[in-house]
Amino acid sequence: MGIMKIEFNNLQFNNGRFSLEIESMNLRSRVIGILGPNGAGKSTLLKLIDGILHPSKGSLKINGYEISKLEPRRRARLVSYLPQEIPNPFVFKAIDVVRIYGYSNHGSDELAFNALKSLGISDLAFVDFNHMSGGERRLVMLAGLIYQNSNLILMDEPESFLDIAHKVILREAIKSLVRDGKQIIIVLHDIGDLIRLTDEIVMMKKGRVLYHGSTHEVINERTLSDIFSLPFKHRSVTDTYEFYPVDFDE
Amino acid sequence: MSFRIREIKGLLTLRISLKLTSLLFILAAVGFFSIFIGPVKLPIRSVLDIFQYQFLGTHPAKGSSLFLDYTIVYYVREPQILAAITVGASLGIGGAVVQSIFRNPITEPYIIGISSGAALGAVMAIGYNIFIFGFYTVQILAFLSSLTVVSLIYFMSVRRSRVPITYFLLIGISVSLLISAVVAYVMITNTRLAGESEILSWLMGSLQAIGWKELIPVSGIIAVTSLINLSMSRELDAIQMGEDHASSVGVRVELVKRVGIISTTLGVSAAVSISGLIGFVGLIMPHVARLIFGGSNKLVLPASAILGAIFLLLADDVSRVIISQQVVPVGIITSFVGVPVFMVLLRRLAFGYYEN
Repeated sequence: MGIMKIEFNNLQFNNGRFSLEIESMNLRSRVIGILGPNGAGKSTLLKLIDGILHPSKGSLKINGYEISKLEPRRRARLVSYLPQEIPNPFVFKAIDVVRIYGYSNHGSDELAFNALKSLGISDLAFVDFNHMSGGERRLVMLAGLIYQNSNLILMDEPESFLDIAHKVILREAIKSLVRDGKQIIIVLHDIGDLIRLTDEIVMMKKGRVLYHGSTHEVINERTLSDIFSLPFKHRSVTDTYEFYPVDFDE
Repeated sequence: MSFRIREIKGLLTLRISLKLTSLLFILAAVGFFSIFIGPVKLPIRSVLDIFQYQFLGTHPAKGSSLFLDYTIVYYVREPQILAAITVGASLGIGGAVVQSIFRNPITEPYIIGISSGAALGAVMAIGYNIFIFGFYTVQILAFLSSLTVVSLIYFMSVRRSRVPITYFLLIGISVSLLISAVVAYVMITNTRLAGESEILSWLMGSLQAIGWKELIPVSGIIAVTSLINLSMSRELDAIQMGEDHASSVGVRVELVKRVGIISTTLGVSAAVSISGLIGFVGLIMPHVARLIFGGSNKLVLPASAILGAIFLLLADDVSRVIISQQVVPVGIITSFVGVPVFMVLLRRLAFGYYEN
């Protein structure tokens, strides 16, 4: 699957409490990062791209399709979304949760199980979702996204709740999704991770895109200070000690 | 590995279908057993003869005094048993659907205005002696008034062409309280209702004196609406994860909510119109189903229906014999028997979600 073009054209979103405006922007990389302070509109932007929020004005097209007007199942085969919040259903087992993500593609139970297996958490398949740790639940939802098998995958702060081992699993999963030709838009707060993972960055503040471009061009002391209203300083980390799993950053 | 998965899965589906089948078997057994329960003792021989006559068309031996027994079986016990099954099933499945839509384990169909609306219709019909629909005025007015109140609550809850569930729930509860106040006012001020046991037994819920004529259309409505609800199990599963989630995986959330609420309202209002307000079934049976089968609505919906039917049948049997020469409204029994049974079940089976 090639890289899809995501086009914003005079997009406006307003729900009475929050407004977001993007005049003109094209996203066209394999892995795209979104960075900004709390309340910048990152989650709103992801929901607009996912088509579950509808623009008040203007358009948002993926490969030429107005995403909010697509038939819902077709939309779900194109885009999937890993939200920040972890839901609290009654008594689902992990496998039930994964199955839900297959609504649009009628995948088999075996594929749902394999999605869990690919993350190394198949032993959780028949465990009560509400009995798991936050990190395990997040990985089960990630397995759901793998099962949903859409071309574009949106992730909203997927690293929250994850311990180091789970972060490694997430990182490996992202790499393998990219290898499989998926396109990813990810919201992360860890600037180092963003630099390592992404090719293109959107920097937001108060519902506006302030900077957008390739990761290495856009992230610098000036733009970061501007976005977060804090002084930033770049420094090399070679003089400090850092511990990380060996396959963390190859 | 994958062959082992298939093996595990095979065992699981086998166990699940065994559980569902055994539930159906229990339902049939309880239904048969219920024929014998009541003030008049029926010998097993004559019941079998009556069945032979009903299902095979063979006439019993000449000279047997089956006429009275036949009258009791055909005009009293059978419609009452079928009413318990359909009403119980409708309340059970309705509860499961409403709990999924509201993502709230302590909701039930009555909460969206069905019970207060139906009570208003029934009180009006009995209190003001209205006869516009002839013999079935109470039932039809209860049904129509229930539909009206739910629609009112639904349309009052529309915000930006969506129906936010918390909004809907709160408006449902407050409008229901208002209408219950009107019902109470009518009951106190209307002299016709003073000491009237008809309205009391309707408000408590009773399956007495339900005949074929009202049972058949009501069962029809319940069958159709239950099938509609059963067909939405995957969508309801997705909605339980949150509306944004459901929408993201491709579910038309507002449509599913609307269809679910309409079909549940129709089914439960139809049930309530003939049975009155039987409590407990819609709230608790979905939980019993989840405790036995887990949360997937593919199983919870049918299991809630079957369990609701079994439970209401048993409660109705108890209501017929607990006090001699008198029938206690079944709604009282459902709570008296149901609550302790549910407490035991909860203590023995509950884990995970229920312990949070």
